[in-house]
Amino acid sequence: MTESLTQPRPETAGTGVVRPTTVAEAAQVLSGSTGSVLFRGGATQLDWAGRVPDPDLVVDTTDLSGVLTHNPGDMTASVRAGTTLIALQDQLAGAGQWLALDPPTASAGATVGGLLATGDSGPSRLRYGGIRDLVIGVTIVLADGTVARSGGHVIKNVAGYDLAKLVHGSLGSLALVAEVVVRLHPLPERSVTFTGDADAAQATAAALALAASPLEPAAVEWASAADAGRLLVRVDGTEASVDAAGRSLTELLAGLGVTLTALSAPDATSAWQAHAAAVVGSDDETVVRVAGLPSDLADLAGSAQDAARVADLRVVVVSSAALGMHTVRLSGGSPTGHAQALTQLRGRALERGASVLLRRRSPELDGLVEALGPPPSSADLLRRIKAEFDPTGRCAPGRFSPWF
Amino acid sequence: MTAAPDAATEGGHDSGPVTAGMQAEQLTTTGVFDVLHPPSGELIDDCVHCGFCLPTCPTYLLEGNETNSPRGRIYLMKMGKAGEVPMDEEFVGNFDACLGCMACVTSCPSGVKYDQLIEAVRPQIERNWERTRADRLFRTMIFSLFPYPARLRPAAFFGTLYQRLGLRRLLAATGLLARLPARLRAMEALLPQLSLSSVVARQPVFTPAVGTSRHRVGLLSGCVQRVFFGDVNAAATRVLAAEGCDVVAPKGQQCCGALSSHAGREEEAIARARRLIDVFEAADVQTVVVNVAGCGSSMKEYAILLRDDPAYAERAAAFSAKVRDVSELLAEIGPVATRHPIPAKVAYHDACHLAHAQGIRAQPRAVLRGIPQLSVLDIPEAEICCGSAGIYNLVQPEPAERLGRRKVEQIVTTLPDAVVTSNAGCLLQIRRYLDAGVPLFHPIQLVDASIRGVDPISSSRAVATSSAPTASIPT
Amino acid sequence: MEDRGTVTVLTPTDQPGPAPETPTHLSPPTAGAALADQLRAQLAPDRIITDLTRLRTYECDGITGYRVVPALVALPESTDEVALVVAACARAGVPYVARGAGTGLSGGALPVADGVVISLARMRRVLDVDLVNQRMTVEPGVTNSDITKAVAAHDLYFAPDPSSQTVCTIGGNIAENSGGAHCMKYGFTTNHVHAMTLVLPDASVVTVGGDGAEQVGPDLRGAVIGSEGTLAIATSVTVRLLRKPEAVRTLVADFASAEAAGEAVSGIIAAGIIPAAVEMLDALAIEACEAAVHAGYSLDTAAALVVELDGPTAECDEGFARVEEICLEAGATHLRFAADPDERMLIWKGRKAAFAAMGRISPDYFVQDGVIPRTRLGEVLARMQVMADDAGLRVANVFHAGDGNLHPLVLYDAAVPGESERGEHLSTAIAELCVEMGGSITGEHGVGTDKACSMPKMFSEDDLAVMKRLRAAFDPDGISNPGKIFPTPRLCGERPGPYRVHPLEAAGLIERM
Ligand SMILES: Cc1cc2nc3c(=O)[nH]c(=O)nc-3n(C[C@H](O)[C@H](O)[C@H](O)COP(=O)(O)OP(=O)(O)OC[C@H]3O[C@@H](n4cnc5c(N)ncnc54)[C@H](O)[C@@H]3O)c2cc1C
Ligand code: SF4
Ligand code: SF4
Repeated sequence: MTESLTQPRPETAGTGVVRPTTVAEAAQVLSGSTGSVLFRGGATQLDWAGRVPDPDLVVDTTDLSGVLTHNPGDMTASVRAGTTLIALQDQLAGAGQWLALDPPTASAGATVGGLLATGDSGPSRLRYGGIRDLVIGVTIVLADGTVARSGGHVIKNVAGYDLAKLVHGSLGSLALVAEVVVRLHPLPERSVTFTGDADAAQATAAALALAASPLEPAAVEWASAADAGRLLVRVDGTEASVDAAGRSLTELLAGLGVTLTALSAPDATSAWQAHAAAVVGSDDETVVRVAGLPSDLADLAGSAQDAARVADLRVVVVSSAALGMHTVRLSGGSPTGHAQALTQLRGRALERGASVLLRRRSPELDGLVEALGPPPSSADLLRRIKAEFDPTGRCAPGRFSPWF
Repeated sequence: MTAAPDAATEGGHDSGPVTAGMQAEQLTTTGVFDVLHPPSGELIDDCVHCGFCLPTCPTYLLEGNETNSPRGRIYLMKMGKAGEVPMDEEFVGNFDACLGCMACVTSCPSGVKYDQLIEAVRPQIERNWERTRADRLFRTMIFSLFPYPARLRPAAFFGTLYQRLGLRRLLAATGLLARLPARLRAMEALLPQLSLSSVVARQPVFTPAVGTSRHRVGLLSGCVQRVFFGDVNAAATRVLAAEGCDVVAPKGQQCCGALSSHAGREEEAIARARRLIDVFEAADVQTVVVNVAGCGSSMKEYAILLRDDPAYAERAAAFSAKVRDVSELLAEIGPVATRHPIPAKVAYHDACHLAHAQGIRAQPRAVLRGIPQLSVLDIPEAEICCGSAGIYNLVQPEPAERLGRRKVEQIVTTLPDAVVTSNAGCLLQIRRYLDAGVPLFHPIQLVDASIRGVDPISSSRAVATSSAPTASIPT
Repeated sequence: MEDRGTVTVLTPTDQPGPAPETPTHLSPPTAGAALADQLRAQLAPDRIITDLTRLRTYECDGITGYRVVPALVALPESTDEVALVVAACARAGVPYVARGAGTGLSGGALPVADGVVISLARMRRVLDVDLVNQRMTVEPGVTNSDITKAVAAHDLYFAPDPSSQTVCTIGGNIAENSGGAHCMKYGFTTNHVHAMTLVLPDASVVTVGGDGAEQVGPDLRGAVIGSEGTLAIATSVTVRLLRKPEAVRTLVADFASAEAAGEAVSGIIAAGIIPAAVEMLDALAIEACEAAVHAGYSLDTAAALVVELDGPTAECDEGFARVEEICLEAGATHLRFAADPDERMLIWKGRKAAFAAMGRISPDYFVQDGVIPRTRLGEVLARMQVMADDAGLRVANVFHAGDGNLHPLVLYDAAVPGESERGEHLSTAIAELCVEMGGSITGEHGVGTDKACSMPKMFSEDDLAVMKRLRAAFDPDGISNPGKIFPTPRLCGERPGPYRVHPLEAAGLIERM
């Protein structure tokens, strides 16, 4: 994890920062204030989908933290939104459980609330689902200080609208996520990671073959490298089942020309750390997230490489191959080069029906290219929702520009 | 806390939504039904409105319309009984549209006896609803033709001539065929291409068992069946004899009344039932064997049909208890005659009146599987009716055709060498849409062929290009 | 017909109350007739039903206790036709209700008087199958089972498996966020939908979700799933298909008491096993299922657990051996193992027939659908028994024991004066007991009409007000399925008790969200 990530972004002169410790305090802060407001958790991913320039107020959730309940028998827990994922996992591990989420920003201090607001996830999404699939209840605070809850403490529950879904991916533009209830999973008895060299085409074939097999791997990731690329496959299970699955998948992928070897536990840990860092990228890079059909991996990786080549940039593609989610990092070259490559890649990806989210870019890029592509058919609806939840438009103005 | 119609019937509290045309006085009566066995409130109340019957109902499948579903029909019975809806065109049309396939009886987890309900409603409609003149005439024509072998035989004979002489082609070419009213066109198209031998075949009254006799059975020779499928009766007689049964086909037997009873013509049905009981009592048999599913299911219900007739109620019950489908009997008594191989794959189509109405699914398959080298394939969507359903394909030709085509589409996915089914109506209906190169059989015909050591399937394949009739239902 | 709803019969003059539930400025009584003429002209005439006889069969869904006759039923056959009907409704200010197979158990598809029912039953084409990416796009009227049937030959299936799966439609599943016996491991409908085409109440057509697992912006697809037809009509749905597990192992374990069975469930969870399904049936439920299906459940046992594990063979076998031990430790009196797929199907057929089979042991019954934290099962069962005894009624229990979703079936006889009222009160009291235990009034059947009045037990006024803001964004005039989910004074009278902080909550011991 790069240093800059753990450092909160310095606030500009007019910005006040408040750190509420309870939901009630957060509500009070919002009802008692006006002007633009930025919600901030671990400050690991503040600039997705548009920057919020000079907010009048930053509501920092760092102190709105702590695990409120953990019911091991029911496999549920509730936390205040500012609780870091790492802190939560630490506490759960004692009961042999975890929140089955491994986003790349975890080690940099990503908070549970921030993760819900971004909808970010990691390699384990393949087996356990993303945060949208793991959150069972939420408390949010609206721009006017109204506190609302939806869902509850039980895994199965269909009473009322699911507001957690609404704030998922809303990047602080609709409301503050104040508390989150999650369902938990037992920690796997054993986890083994396999690695092998593979180019984009082989990675696509491998991911599809694994999906079509009954092997149920926990993660299938790929990262490009100077010499084609590398596949990381993880299996979770019991002592015996992991061995059996390992044998089968090694055999399966050997048939596709990919030779897998198992990593020792420490090697696996560092391989996954490096992999996470490769997804996060750094401040001077342009980081784009593309999600499409798993079978389009090679095509999208190719498009990224083409776009980079034209603009004379370096490019790294990191993929959740079986899920069809790719992070493209562009570096080097000039801001106009970045803008040009981004536009080209985005055009190509949208053509393929993929979604594109601009995660990071240097400030110089802001004037050169929009943070988002053309608005989706639901843009009008999104604006109406925004108007209902945040009539004065104070939550994260600039986010989702120009859709909002 | 009860559905309003319920309350209404029982003269209970609050009625349902007040709607135009709903008359309070009617609430204590049987509504649109007369007092002669209206559909039973208790049976209606067994329905919990869960909808599990919807996907197996052919009319719901076609229309996607709640009214045209078993649940909708039962609901309308309830409404009708409470006098909340009139017996109008929509009401009658909805019950007329029901094929009586009884797929809903099979799929209902609550055990709703829809068969008894619909059979109660149909005579009510016949008694209390004025049909249009054209409708009446057509129905009368059917009922004065089909149940009478003597009348049907000449008609079929001329029908055969008509086919042989190429009149059909002529009619079609001149466009006259297209101008026949839909229902007549349906009749015309259903005419099987008959072998003259089948049309003129007569059933011997007594056929002794081969070897020692272990059973004495009476054979229902049927009406439509006797004429169109004389071959099937002959095959059944040979098989039963080979399996050690003395076979009696009593003279003087007529239509069993199935067509009438499924169409709500209760008086007619009752008269026919009495007559058939008389005939078979006189024949003194242990079992009454039927090889038409529709007739078998009707005969098994004589007990209900004649429940109010003091002279017949008991005898009817005894008669019903003796009735067996031919495959049912063969499965019961077990094989003695040697079977010879018929190397082929046959698709077995469950006739509704066998599978849904009588719950007979395993026996025909078992009997077929007793033939060496014959494999029996199941057809997707097996529970859905082929659209034949008694006189349905005559009175409701358009939906019947859609169902027939749908059935054949499913049949051909199994790539069968032949198709087998136990009901005359299904045979006619499927024949109409199935590629002429695929022969159709009644299971008993294959058993017969197997015992006799002939292979009708490969021989039919061999002659498929020529037009010579075969031992099968002629193609 | 049994009723599993409240006694309420809503008459045209007794329609749910103020905005945004009902458009106040709209819908004079004759609006329906004018609308029918207009729609007949625009769509084929066979798409419109206005005769009273046929309309009556649309007056209720899976619970017959609530009945309202609509002004007309439309049977559109495409997205464009749905949009056309919605546009006509929007222009005329006539409310509409989408309807799938009408198996809903909360009165969700209950028509609105003088309103339109938009039946999706004719939209049942499979639009696209993508085996490689394991997804399929279908129209909303396709049944849950038909999705799986279409791809079963390729070892794929659609995971959510409500007991009504052979009948209920994917559109209804979307609206109710339906789950089934296997949702403990595999989740609900919301976890298995990639994208949807929606017709919004202003008749605009939008796509939510997409090819990618991640979408930009708020998760509208997630917000619409489970919204009970109040936000939009889904006209095409792209679902996620799963690869069939390599192995499936199923057992039925009999126990001398429901508590012992509950202990076994806790043991299984504590061992870190996530079963594909854990279902519990009590003696009464078993009696009904056996009468309907003859699935071979023991009739002389107090409770039976159906436990199913699936996954890679090695993992499954190892876990299954553990489950067997745990059941025996918890005092299982008899274990039956499904020997082959047919026996497994039979066991499930018995379980899935449970509700509908109640007709075999009781003239009438209410289905309840509460959720509790599973660890409080024993406590809840004991309380329920006392409540049932007090009411003098029998309660049969089938439940998804793994996730604490109870389906108590309150048995009564409407012919006995007072029983139906007592039954209804008992059923409602059980749902509210679930909330008191930190659970929910509904785990899968939805709030609909039936439970709207219990919503204030679970949510504060502010919670509900914020949910209504979401509704207002989609449907400012409140024409899409008005009167559902949210309590209205008209429907609930004085009933909805105010949301009160539970003493345990005040003490910081539990939390209600
Ligand atoms: C015997 C029985 C067992 C059941 N078991 C289960 C179970 O195990 N799990 C479970 O979750 N449910 C169960 N249910 C409840 C019910 O089957 C489900 O809620 C189902 O999803 C409803 O589907 P449907 O097509 O019948 O919808 P309907 O009942 O027709 O409608 C339900 C709701 O969906 C809305 N709707 C329908 N189609 C659309 C559409 N295309 N777009 C938007 N809204 C729409 C309607 O307006 C209504 O609000 C059971 C029901 C019965 C009768
Ligand atoms: S399946 Fe049976 S109980 Fe259910 S609606 Fe149909 S007839 Fe009624
Ligand atoms: S008998 Fe056949 S057509 Fe008639 S309601 Fe039942 S399933 Fe439908």
